[in-house]
Amino acid sequence: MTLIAGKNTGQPNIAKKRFRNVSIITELNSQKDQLNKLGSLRFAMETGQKLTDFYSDDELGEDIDPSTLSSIRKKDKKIYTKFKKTFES
Amino acid sequence: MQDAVWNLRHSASEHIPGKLSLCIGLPVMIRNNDATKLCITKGQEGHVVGWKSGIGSRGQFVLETLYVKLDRPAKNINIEGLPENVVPLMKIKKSVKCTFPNGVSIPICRSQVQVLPNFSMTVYASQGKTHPDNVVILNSCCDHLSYYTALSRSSTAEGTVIIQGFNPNKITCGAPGYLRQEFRELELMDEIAQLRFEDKLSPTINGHLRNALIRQYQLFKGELYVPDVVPDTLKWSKSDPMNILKVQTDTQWQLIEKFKEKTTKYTPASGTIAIDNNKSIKHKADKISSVTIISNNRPKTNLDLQNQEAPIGLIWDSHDHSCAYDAVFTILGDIWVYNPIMWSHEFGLMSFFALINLVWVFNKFH
Repeated sequence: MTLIAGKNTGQPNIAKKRFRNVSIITELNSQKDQLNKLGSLRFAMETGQKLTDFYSDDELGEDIDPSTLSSIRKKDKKIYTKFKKTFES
Repeated sequence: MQDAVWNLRHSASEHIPGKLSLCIGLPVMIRNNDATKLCITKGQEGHVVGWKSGIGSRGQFVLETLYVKLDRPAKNINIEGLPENVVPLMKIKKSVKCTFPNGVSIPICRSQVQVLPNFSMTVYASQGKTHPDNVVILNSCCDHLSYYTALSRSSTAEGTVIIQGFNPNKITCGAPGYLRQEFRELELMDEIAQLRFEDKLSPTINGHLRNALIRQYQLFKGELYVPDVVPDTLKWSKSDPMNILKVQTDTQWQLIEKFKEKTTKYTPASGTIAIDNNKSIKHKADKISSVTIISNNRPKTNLDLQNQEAPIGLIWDSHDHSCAYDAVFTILGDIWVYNPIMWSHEFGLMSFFALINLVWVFNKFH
């Protein structure tokens, strides 16, 4: 008996209904983001829907909270000013 | 430029998505503690049941409110006009650091509903959850701690599925040296605590700190002494020794009340710089609101964020006995100083509500 997913008999199948939409636990953020992206596309397809994209409303941050501010490295300051010009144009 | 920011992967913008792609029934995870009493807590899982959209400042499609049905909430939630366990999530304005693939990061003030799709979560985010069905990728987990966290989410073995192979050495090839040392020290501490409880501990074992206590016990019992209860895998011997701990010198305790001098003396914590008390203006805790206290008493020069040498805050005054509220005021002050205009306004609003509440309570007991 193994718990490693696969196609052989005796192996669990993650395509089964029971596991299909279970949130997969992984260490890496990159894997998580990609799994979420692919999962959303698959879910919409399987339920006969289309994904609606909602965008955030962004401003280049004047009201910066302290935790973010302290983490902006000096190196980024110049680039930040440059970005701000591009962003607002 | 804005497109590039929107299309960043979610973890590159502190898990507050630039672009959220949703449909009805899609599993989501709430990423913010909006209302803990309504089970709208960070990490709570749910499904999309509806939304109210709007048009953003750049003509884009934005979410105003997202309606989510909570999965297995701690208690049933009933909000008037909504089905059971369905809660509304508003968009929230928050500062996020967006990191581009080239490593450059920019701060952005983002309005978005704070949810993420929940087809996957990190080991970190999974902490504290229990899932009857648990699918894990162990291959990417870096150590035994991650293995433990990922696998212990399962409530059943048959509901546990592992994707890909994994490295069994991480959980079978013995604990790394530092971890073994920690466990061994805990075993000795266990025995000392037991003996002390039973009043059988030699009076010479009287250290107040962990290191000193273990060292005394080791010297007393001999380096090769192993308590009987230690599991075989942790036992130490001549060939696999547990050395007697080295003497550690700790910072001396100081009673600060004893000092009568004008400036308060204290030992700065390592890595910090002491504030020169003479330069700072003494605060008056008797004045009314937190905002005015801070704004009246914090000289602008000391709030220069770029040249800040020590944390911002009120300074202990041994003459008029600074009160416990100082801790709160210091935190508020530290928040306020980053955007005085906005926070003065926000604090004003908060005080207003606090006052309304007070008035309401007074009326009730009148």
